[in-house]
Amino acid sequence: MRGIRFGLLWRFLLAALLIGLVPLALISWFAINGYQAAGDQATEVTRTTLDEKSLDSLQLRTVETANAIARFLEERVQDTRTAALIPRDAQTYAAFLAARHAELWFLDGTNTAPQERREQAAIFREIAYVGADGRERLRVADGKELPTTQLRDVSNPANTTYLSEDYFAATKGLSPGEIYVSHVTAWYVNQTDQLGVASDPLAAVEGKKYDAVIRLAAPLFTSAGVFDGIVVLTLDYRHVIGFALHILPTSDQKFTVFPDYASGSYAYMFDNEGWEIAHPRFWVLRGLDPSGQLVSYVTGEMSKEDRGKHPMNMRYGAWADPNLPTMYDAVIRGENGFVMTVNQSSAKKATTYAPIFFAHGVYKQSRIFGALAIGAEMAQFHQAADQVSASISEQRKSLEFQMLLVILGSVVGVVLVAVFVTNTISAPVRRLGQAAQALERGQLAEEILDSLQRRRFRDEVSDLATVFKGMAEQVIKREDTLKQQIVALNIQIDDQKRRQQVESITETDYFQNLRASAVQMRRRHQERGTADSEAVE
Amino acid sequence: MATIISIHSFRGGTGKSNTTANITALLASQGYRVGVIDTDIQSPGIHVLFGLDDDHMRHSLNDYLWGTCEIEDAAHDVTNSLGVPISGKIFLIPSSIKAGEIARVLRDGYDPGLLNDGFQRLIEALDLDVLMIDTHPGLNEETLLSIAISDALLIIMRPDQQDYQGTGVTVEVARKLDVPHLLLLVNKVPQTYNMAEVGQQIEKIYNCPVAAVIPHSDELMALASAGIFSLRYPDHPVTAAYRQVAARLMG
Repeated sequence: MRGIRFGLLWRFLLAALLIGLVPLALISWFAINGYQAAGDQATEVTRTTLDEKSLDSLQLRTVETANAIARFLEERVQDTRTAALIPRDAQTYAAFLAARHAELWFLDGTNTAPQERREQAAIFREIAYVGADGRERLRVADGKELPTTQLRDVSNPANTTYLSEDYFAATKGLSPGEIYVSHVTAWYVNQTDQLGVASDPLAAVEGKKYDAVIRLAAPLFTSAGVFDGIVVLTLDYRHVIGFALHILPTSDQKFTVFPDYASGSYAYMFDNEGWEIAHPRFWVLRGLDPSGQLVSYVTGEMSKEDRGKHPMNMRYGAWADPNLPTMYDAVIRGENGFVMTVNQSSAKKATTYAPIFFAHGVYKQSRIFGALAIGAEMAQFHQAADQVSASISEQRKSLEFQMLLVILGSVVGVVLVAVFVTNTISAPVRRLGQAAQALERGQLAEEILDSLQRRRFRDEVSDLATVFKGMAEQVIKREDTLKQQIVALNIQIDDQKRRQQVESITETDYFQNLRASAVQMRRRHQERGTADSEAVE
Repeated sequence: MATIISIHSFRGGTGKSNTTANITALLASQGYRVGVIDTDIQSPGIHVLFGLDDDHMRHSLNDYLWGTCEIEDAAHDVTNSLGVPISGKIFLIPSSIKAGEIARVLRDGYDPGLLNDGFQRLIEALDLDVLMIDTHPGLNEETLLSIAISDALLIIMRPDQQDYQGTGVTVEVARKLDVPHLLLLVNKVPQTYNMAEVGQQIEKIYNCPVAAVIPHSDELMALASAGIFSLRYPDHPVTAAYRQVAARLMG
């Protein structure tokens, strides 16, 4: 009776649960973890692949756009050559300008209600014929001939629009067929000029624009080959800067009217001297001060306020990002490529760059106009991968839930089966126990034993019941025999012998005397007793 | 009028002394003045049950038989040594347990007539209501005398072959002596037997009423040796059986 009672039901239940559920739980665990691991790996591979593909695609776009800019500039060189051949009269010049238009895409309206606009605009703002002495003879701007009073002597740079332009002297020294091209020329726009009250460039619709030009000029010669002046074309730089500013590197839309600097994904340009010449923040762009001198480049030592008053030169921009001079050097070598930067919130940013090959005018030496660079937040590259990852995570949760359901279902099934099996095994054993208890009381539980023997599926219990029944019958039979033996003992009195023994006593004289006196003696003491009681009364 | 009751068995070991002591105690607790005389001079024993030891035994039945004292001098009032207060009185006349005195009785014998005189005197001197005679087993002269003068005789037997024959003889002899109340008590019956059946069987064979059938029980044996059972366990079924026997003996 000592020890813990651990019935058949519990044993079967425990065994069934161990056999059934442990492997199931292990398989589930491995499956779920394997799924997750595979998912993680797939996500990682996808990310890497997407990153690589995105980078490749960005790189390609950068090169193609750079080439497009180069082509555009090359076409303008052809335009300049054409301008050198046409008759030098106002009508022809005006027709020349009118024939060259391209679309401009820009924001208009107010800061609070910006409006996107697309407009055809002349590629060249002006065309001028300058005589061999440096004096302007004919100048057509915005389709109109300027009066002679406004014609200048541009042999002196101080008389030029930007007070320092030397295109006359530079062009005068060129051989026939050679074309002069100036650097991007504009009045410097500082941070306050551009932003005004707006918080960032995108919102500053009403702010000052970067209004730059590029001068292209060709020398003219008489039929005798004598220098006969120059023809000067003023390229509206908005047509060039648009190549960069409209790029939207990480979106399906590909293009934007104006980039969001804060997003980190935008394009910019720098020229062969390292000056930035396209960027959503105009105050980093090359520009001239009111005296016509280049505004000096921004440095790390400057205060935050001063940094809004100086343009960026890539060659001296290492303090802001060590990649800037690296990119400049690569571009000067004619290489394209990419650099990786990690910003303060540990988001990775890739910048691809490609040189704009162009070898005219001031760019003749370097054979490079500058470069286009496209920066993109890496996170935006693997949005697809992140979606896959999220989907895998969701699938895993669903898988876990399904596994849990299967396990729970199995528990219920196992318990039911265990209870059923236990009952089929333990019920006969219990009934055999009842038969044993009946035997303890001296009864043969025939009904129970017979039903156990006659069960449809015979097993060890049936055999035991047979043996038990035989045993019980023998026990009861033996007990009955013992009982009968008592009765037999009672009967075994030898009457003959008894009579002899009685006679041996009663025939003695002593007994005869005693018998005779017994009645008397009894009477005597009873009489005395009566007398006593009478005396008491 | 005093009632003389003899308790007898053909053989020893039937529980005779124990039954005598219990019936005595039950009668005394009903208020009777009861005398108990141990005539089993050869193997005395009842004094132990009444808590009387050698040192406190002033005189014994042996002294009276040899004429060294009066019978009442050998009577010991053992009422207070029962451990339970009772309303009646118990006087015990023991046989000597001294080896020498037992040997002398065996060697010299005694006049059985003295016993009868002693019984009568005892009843008178102690003003007894009941005199219990614990007899010697077998059927010798003094036993026959005790039976002859008794108003009631209780024959104790065990259910075994030797007792069946001997009890048959005793019953026959007692009939010839015209004992007014003759009763049988079947003692130490194995518990595997059906008690009622055993009683009926015995009654039928001896043609004599059976007062009680008391089962054998180790528990009972252990308790009985520690004193008088019926006083210590007044509610026990065996005590109830003794009580019934006592009532039938008193007629």
